[in-house]
Amino acid sequence: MNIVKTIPIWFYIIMPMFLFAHGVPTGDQGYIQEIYGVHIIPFMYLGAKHMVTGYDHLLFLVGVIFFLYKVKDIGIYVSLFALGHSSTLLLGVFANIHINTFLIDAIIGLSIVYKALDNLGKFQEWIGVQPNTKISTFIFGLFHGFGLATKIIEFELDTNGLFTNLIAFNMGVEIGQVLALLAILILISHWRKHSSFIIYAYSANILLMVMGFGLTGYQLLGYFNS
Amino acid sequence: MFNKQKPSENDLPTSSQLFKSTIIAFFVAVVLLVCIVIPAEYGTDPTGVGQLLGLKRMGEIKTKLKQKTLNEKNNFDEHISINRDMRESIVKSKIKNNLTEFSIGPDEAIEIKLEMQTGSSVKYSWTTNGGGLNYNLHGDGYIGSQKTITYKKGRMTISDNGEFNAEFDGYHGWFWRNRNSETVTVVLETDGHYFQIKRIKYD
Repeated sequence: MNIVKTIPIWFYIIMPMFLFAHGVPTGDQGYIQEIYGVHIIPFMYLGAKHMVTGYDHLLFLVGVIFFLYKVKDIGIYVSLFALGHSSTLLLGVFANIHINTFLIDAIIGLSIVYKALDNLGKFQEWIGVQPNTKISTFIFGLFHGFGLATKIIEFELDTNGLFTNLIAFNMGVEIGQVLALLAILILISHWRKHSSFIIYAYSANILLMVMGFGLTGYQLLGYFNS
Repeated sequence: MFNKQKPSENDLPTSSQLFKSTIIAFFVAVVLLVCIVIPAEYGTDPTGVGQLLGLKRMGEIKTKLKQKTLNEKNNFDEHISINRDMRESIVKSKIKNNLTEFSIGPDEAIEIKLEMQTGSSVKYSWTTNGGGLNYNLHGDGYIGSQKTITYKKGRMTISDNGEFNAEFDGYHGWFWRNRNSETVTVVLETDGHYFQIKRIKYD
């Protein structure tokens, strides 16, 4: 029952992965609890699914690539982000670091706000310096990884084959990220070709910020009500 | 106003490149959906790729779990309403001892429950013959109470024993599922305070 309480409600609304009926979970968690040993491709699939259907990660990625035009730059930033979340995903699961999901998701919400402000150049304006965007992307990667780790811990993976399955899950996360990124990139490229891109770039980042704050507030409400 | 300049022509893909990318993306998405997502989520595998990757099995397990949860819910409700009447005629639980033997076919599940009062305790032991089982030792309150608790669970386990105290009035016991390709036999011994032992229909 603990698990039911700690999963944010949007999880149920967006994707009905968990459906509890007297103690036996169904969906992805049910599947994971039914299998035993190493299952590389299924875990890759679950990692990719988590990334493609996790809109908080997607919003952050939109923020990151909003003003990145060169494939090389996109590669660098996404790799830094991936390096960050891979390390905390593995660390979190193996050290069994159980951070409250609401707090982690609230920080992820703030990371979206940060990125939107960064895109708008507000840090230069307000504090006079531009924070190193590479370092901040890496740091937010670390937070996103703890979020992933908490989800994995909730899945209650068996210790048999845990390491291999986790590596597979992590690879899946990267594959899912690349797929999501390519889709976002194609959509945003269509937009960039129009003059409306630069006209509405400001509003778009404000909208990102609204969603980031909304997400943070929502998660904090969940935290104080849990 | 921004951290970056607006894109120059060189930074952007040409219209024909972008058109091509969009078309390719569309087809990749369709292929992924048909070959990967549909098998992994619904157990339907039109291309055979899902089977090859082991994802069809995932979809089959998920679909069956969902189906069985729905069926189980209906059966369970019915079962509880029958037993509630019986419960009223029994004032006190008795010390009971049962030896139950049953077999579970491949991919099948069985649930055996003891009707217990809050705080009463039962000693148990079970062993399997033919392979390990996934199990979940849990309790469910009477209909309407919405109480549920998991005492213990495990995967591919060949035997277990111990003691548990009922956290609330209701049904407490085991759910076993056989994920082997062969039938598994289980011998369960229960000893303690309970009204009755009951096998719950699970299909």
